[in-house]
Amino acid sequence: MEQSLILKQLSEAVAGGFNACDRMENGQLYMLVNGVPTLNKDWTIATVDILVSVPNTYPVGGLDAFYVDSALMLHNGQKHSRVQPAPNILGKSWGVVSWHYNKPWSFSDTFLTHIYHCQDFLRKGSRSN
Amino acid sequence: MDKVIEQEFRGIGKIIESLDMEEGLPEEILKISEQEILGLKIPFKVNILPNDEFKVIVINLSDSVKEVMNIIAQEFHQKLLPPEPEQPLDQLFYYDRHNNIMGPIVDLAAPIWRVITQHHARLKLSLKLSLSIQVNANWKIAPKEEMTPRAILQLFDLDAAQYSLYHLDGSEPLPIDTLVKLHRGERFVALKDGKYGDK
Repeated sequence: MEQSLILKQLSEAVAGGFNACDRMENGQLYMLVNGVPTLNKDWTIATVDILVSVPNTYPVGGLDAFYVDSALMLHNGQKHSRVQPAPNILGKSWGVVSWHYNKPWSFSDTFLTHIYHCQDFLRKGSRSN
Repeated sequence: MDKVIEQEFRGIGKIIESLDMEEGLPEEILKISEQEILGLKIPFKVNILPNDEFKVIVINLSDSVKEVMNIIAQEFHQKLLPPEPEQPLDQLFYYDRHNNIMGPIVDLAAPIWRVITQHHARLKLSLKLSLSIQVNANWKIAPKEEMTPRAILQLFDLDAAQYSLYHLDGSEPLPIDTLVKLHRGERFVALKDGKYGDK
């Protein structure tokens, strides 16, 4: 894993307006992004924390899927059907979102583009149930 | 002749009561040391292209080209793009002795004094604001005022077969071959479509 690349891409994400930082737990690197706008009124909250697992092989091995704060709920009182329970990470309860890329990860993809990709799930709201 | 009354120049021990901005720096100033020149403030005629209207502002000769660009932009209630810490895509031009517009000035870190003396330039500068747009983390100058999302992605070296383009806060992807009217500072998001389930 290229540490300088990680820092550069985190800086880009911050410059893009996201409160992103790196966190490590049990030898696994994560990108934590606090307060990502949910962009859809289907959700009960306007912003949500997301967590992305960064593989040791990054950037050859790309990012995929993400965790979302377990507080994320739809206005119908239910959780999104694609958000499944996940173990506690960084002392916090998460749901894992089974949201993947239609096209393979490439070198033009970055932490910032992955946040946008995750936000695309949020933007769809309940539509994708 | 443009006159600036009681413009005091530190280092040459006198007050220059008039300065012709259609000429270069006066001989009195060119004779003094670089260190003394860097302490001077000089009136310049400035504008933003393609506007013909010039304003007179006082610029510190030690200011870098980039600082001068910022000062001119602020004078006209504009901001350089992209924002700090990136280098602006906007451009600064100077005028030679025959009033031909020259440039753009490439070395944005150089003091404006050096540019003026090296090129025997008039005390006259023009700022050109570029049609800068952002896709994800990158900024580029749009070559046209209207472009299709496909062309915008191509401009940013992104494959339209892989990425969809959204306005920053847009809820739907922009139709790939429909022209989009571009505005300076407009921000877009290019993302790969997602899908549910197994990889």
